[in-house]
Amino acid sequence: MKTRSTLISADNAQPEKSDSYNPSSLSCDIFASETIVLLSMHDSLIQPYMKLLSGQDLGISGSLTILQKESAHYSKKERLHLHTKIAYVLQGNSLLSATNAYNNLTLAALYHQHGSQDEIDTKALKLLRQMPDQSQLDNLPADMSELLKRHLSLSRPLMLDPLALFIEQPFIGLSHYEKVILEKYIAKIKQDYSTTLIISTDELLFARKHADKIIYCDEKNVLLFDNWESFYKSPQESISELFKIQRIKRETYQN
Amino acid sequence: MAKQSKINALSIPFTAVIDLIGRNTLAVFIYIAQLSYFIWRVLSSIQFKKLKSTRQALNSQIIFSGIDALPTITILSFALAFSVTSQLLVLLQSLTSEKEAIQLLSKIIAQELAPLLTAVILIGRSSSAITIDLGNMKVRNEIKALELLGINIYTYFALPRMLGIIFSQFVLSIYFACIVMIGGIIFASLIDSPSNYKYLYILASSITPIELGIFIVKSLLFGLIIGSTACYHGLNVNHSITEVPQQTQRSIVNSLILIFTIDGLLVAL
Repeated sequence: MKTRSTLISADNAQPEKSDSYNPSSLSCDIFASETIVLLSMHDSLIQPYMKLLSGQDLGISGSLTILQKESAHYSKKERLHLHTKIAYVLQGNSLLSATNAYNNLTLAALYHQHGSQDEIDTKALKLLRQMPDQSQLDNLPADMSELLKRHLSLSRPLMLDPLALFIEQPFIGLSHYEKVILEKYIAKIKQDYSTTLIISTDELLFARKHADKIIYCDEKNVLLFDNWESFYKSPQESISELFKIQRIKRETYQN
Repeated sequence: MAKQSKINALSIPFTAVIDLIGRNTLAVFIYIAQLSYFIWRVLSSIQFKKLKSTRQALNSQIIFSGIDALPTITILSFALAFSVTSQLLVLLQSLTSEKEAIQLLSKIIAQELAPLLTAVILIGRSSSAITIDLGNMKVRNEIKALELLGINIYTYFALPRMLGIIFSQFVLSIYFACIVMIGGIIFASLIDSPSNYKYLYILASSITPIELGIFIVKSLLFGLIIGSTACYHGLNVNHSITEVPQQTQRSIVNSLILIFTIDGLLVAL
């Protein structure tokens, strides 16, 4: 019997405290090719867990194993290398502002020498062909559409074939139409690359469609749900509140 | 009683002054230690395998700091050749021997002024640009995003900029010194007497290997200081855009202070 490999395992791991918020400890196992969606009313509540699970934050208690090694035991150099396997896409657009789409896409792969120049070119061209707004590919990021910038931000780590890809709030600030296109692209990444996706968002519809597991955070708790149904049926008051807000948002949009 | 209160009134400002001097001296040493640690981190991050990917950034830096600065350096060096070198040469030949006159000029203008003025131009043009560039990238999370893809920011961002500045400072100093000396002699020949052309031959034989060595070390050191200070302050920007002009100002002022201090120390040595 083939068992799924565990990429990240948290056992009562508690992220570092922020000024306004003391995060609870989290226990979960993230397997290869899974899609985990982190949901919350406030982005600031999710971020500490995204940083913890991706190995940016060492945590203040509990244990966190990333790729079969305790997170705290990674040296600075190893941690830098870890980011090529466990890649992280920051919220919004963080492309290099002085270079075009092709250079933005290839720079990490060229730096890490992830394949020959021809292999990198072929891979980059394949990804560029999937981009929206093709006419803007030669522009600098300042002259690109927001959707193209998001596509590029998501594609850049794919050049390194990461085992897991953390994506911070991919849909924030996008129109409904752009959200649909980006959602399709994320689904395609999942299908084509079989990468583990760990996504923070407040889009419940996205979570319903794509999440294998849901991590929900509010001010008091962090809860792990094995599927959408268990999340939907949760008696947690703040979760009902989240559904209510989303319903109002949808109705406002439809009106 | 009145005498006692007078003593107290005097002693408070005195201790405050001592305290201020102590704090500032300490701040200077801490700054130098932090800058040295930064330089060490950048230089220790060199990985020859990764240098290929930073070649483009290095070339851009050399073009911006070196080639693009050529017109400014040329104009300034010709102006200096005309206004200072030629005048001094005419004046000195009536006071001392031919060889001593040219040695004096070479020491003051080629070895002292050329690296110093080149450094001042580079600080004004490139140091501020690097700090602003890196600072803005830091604010926009561009650097953080690449760090999260396993890219060493010291290798990718700081190293090519520092090497570009070191190379530019070295080459431009030589260029500046050549124009200012040769141009000065030519101007002196045109203004005063055609016999002044003889100084071109004397100049070539008057430069000793030690002087040449000091000139090279000084130029490289100035380049290292300008490049590292600019990168250090650029990468010191955190989240706010208002930090960019603050760090740029610090970068320019600290570079100037360090350059002049080191120049003074080298002269003393």
